[in-house]
Amino acid sequence: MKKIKWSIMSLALVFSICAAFATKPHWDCTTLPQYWFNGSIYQPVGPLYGCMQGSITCTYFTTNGGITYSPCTIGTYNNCAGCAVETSQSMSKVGH
Amino acid sequence: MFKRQVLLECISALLILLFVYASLSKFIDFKTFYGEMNNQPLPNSWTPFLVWAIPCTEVAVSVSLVFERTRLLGFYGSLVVMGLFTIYTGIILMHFFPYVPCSCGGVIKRLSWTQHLILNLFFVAISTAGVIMQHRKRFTNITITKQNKNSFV
Repeated sequence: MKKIKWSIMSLALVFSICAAFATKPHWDCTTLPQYWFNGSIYQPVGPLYGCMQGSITCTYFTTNGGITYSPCTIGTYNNCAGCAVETSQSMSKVGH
Repeated sequence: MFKRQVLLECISALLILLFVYASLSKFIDFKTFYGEMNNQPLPNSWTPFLVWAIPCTEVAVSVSLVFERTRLLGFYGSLVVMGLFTIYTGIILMHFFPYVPCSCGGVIKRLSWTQHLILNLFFVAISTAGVIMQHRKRFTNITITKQNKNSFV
């Protein structure tokens, strides 16, 4: 009985470990269209978007046509990264 | 008796297969798992705790299912974990939360939430069967031991 038990256990263990490594995603999710979550729905990211420092999910991707979304990049979503800097620069220019 | 024992081993092996696969998938792609936990409709402050608690519990249940002494505890643990996952899946499907998050965990993320619920219910059922069979086995072993003691006296 012990032989049967350890055969079954070893088989389950080896199979699960191999399966975990075999199904590991080895592609870059950023090659897919990115979406951001605005609190209620997922929207396509803007052309000038950026991910600021943060521990939450910045952008998401979907592989099933928008039924579910998976996190892709980490950070805080900024719809127009760099725009704020440009605006302040242009404002300072106006001040001069 | 032999058939029941083999069946019990198969149930344990299936649960070990699920839990080792699920925990290892999380550890291998930890960054994605962290993001997926943030994406769940739970407070983000829980994420640092949950990202360790969930896979570690899965590993603990798997280990306890391997050894005869701790197997009953493992079956109970499996029943509790799968029960909680099933309740969570049910809540998601009832649209209790404002949005439907991804159904994460290796190849499991390719399943829809309905398929996920069916899978969870299957594992809840076999965990329950494991608990019942392990209890019966213990009871039978105790009875046999008592009978042997009586015949010896």
